[in-house]
Amino acid sequence: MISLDKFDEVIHAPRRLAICAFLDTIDEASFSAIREALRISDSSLSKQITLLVEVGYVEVRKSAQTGRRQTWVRLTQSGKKAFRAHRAALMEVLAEIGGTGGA
Amino acid sequence: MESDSRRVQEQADAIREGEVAASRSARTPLWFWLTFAVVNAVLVYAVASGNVLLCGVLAIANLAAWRVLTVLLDQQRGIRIGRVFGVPGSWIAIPWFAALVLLAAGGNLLSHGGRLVWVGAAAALLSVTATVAFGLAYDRLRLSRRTRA
Repeated sequence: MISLDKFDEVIHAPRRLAICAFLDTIDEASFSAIREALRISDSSLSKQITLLVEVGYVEVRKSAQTGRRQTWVRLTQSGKKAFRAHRAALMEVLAEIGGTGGA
Repeated sequence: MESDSRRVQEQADAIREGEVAASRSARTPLWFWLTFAVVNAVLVYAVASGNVLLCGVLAIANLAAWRVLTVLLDQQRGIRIGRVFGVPGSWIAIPWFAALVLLAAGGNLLSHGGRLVWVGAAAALLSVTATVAFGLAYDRLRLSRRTRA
């Protein structure tokens, strides 16, 4: 019997998980870098990020370097903690079912 | 049960997708290491050819080049990398600078104060090769550590 109780209900959606995994390995990324790297549409990325901001997992700031406005996104400490806990729970479940997901 | 398994697999795939995408996006392009290598080579050549006083310029130019190139790189990639191996990424410039000073000073000694020009040229060539090789190896190690964490 697989137990999914430890999964974080906010970041369990594959799109949000991919965004968190992307941000967890770096310090900060621009909106356009995330969009291009994960091949997500503007509206979908914006929706997912807004949701992550609402629960405090992600922070957004605007910058206007070299005259171009850019939106920078980063995982907060609680976002990192939630993502890593979710990832660990996922690894446990994968080990239980002998999965080869390799996340 | 089957839907749970599928859900778990989907999540594992999503995490892998995010990590692989970050690794690909965070790769340092060759122009970064080449430009840094050329700045270093000019100064190593000058010091190894007899201009010991240029050591101070070597220090400032090395750190300034690193800083400027990093800002340009962040802008181009749209990604900022903070800590690498537990310390701020820019700290890598410190041991690298020490290695360049040793190379320049060694070249200066071997060229007998700049009388043997080929020693300075060899030191400069060595610094270009070493900078690029070091940069590529450092990048590979950094990315593999990051995606394995």
